[in-house]
Amino acid sequence: MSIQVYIPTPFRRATRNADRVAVDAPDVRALLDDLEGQFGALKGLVRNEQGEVHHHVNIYVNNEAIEALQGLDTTLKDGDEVSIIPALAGGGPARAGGRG
Amino acid sequence: MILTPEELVQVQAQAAAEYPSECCGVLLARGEPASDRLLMRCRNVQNELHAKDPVRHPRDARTAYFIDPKDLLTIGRREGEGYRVATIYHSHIDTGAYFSATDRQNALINGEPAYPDAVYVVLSVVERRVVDAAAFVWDPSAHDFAPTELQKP
Repeated sequence: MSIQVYIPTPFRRATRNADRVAVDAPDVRALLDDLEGQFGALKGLVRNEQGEVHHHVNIYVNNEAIEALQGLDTTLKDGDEVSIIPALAGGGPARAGGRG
Repeated sequence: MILTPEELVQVQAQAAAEYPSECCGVLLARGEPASDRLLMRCRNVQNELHAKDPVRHPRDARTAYFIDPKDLLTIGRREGEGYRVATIYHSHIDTGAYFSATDRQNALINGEPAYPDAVYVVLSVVERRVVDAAAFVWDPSAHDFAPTELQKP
């Protein structure tokens, strides 16, 4: 069984510039365990110390966010594509019209 | 070129139309020089995040942007087609076109730039008019973002 994992630009420094990685895993949690085993630098980038996915990181199985599936327990099947994508966010001062 | 005059006009129009919410989007580029360009207007979902969880997301779209994860997935797919994120833009409402502390914080992952080769463009929108725009790039020697030249609106 092979799951294709898409690695976006912000995380490629942790995957030795690999943009796609093939992983054999029954669910998303095991997939992340496998990835972190292959690429130690990914530890802490995707999940916190409690093993929860950072709120600024989105994980998709094919086109579905895992929050809409079974989260880290989402099962995977041969040919699935998983994407791990950090948020793009920012903004002005805490109060409109201010500066900070 | 960070944004062509035509692209800048489109971004300014978006920023004015979405006032008083911050607008956001990216320019995807492919090739050297970046002749194959895609200006991708993104959806700011900050208001939805704020309504759903105001503790985790205390700001609304008037003072923050958060690109719709669906747009991020599209960007990711385009990256798979050889495009790179060349420019990331957003607007500030009734304040200046500067790279805010929040912008900086969110552009970093573990202290390193998420998109070290991208240019960040910030537009200032006051009373629905774009009054200024500025660009910022990562300066590795200073380990910080620094202003760079952008054609003025």
